[in-house]
Amino acid sequence: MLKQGTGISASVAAILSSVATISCCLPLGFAAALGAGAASAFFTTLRPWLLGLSVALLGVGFWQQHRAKQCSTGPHDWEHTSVGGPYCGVGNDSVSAGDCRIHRRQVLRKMKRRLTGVAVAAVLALLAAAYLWGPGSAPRGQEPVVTLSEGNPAEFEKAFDADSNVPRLVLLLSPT
Amino acid sequence: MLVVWEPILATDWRPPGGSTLSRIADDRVRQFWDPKHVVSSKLKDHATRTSLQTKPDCCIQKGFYWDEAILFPAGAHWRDAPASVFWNGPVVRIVPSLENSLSEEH
Repeated sequence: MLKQGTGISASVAAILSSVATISCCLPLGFAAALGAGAASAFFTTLRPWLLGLSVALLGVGFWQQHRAKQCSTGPHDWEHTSVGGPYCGVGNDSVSAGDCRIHRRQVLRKMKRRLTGVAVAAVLALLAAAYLWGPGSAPRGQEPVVTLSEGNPAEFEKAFDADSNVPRLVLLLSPT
Repeated sequence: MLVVWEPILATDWRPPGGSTLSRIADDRVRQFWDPKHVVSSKLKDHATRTSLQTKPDCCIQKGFYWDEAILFPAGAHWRDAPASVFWNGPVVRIVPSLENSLSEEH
């Protein structure tokens, strides 16, 4: 009978091994980069870290994509058939099962490239939006920067009136 | 001290970043991004309504005040459209006169 600890470590090892196998062929880096980028829209205090992480994960995604080429079982299969080649499907016996497998693999590869492109574009769009949208973080010790709008002038009024027993200085500046 | 960043120049196409905000690092400061010029418009309104108001010598662009320092006395409340004891710009040139006004207020 197996000890309980051995059972758990075997399960963990099996899970890790599965993840390692999947990560070779699925663009998890890009997915994680997209997730980190999206999270940065909500967690403003962590935004610089999350954006940095999403850039790093993009790098991981590209590395994974490079490695995924090695997942192909037949390294020379790609050279023999072109995408858009013979139609593979039920009732078409003129194309061998092997050729159909190759064709399908090529189509999947093309689709994966497109998805990768979409994921990279989405992460870059998120980075651009984060750069252009909200102001940066206030220096340490200061309250967060508030964006004023016609419907939200109260924050300024509140800050102005907060220390009404002392003189107050207002500076109007342009960021550049 | 209240620092209000507003887009005035053609290069102001994004809010102030961390490096811009860190130029004023004192922890008594409160910083705002005012893309719609809410504060500047209100100050303009205050200036026209208050006859005792000091008037700035410069710095209006696109109809908005900018690059200016405005000093309000103790006891002033924003809702009362308070008169300032000092209002001028550009900031880089008015530091000595602002310091004089500040020491008079203290």
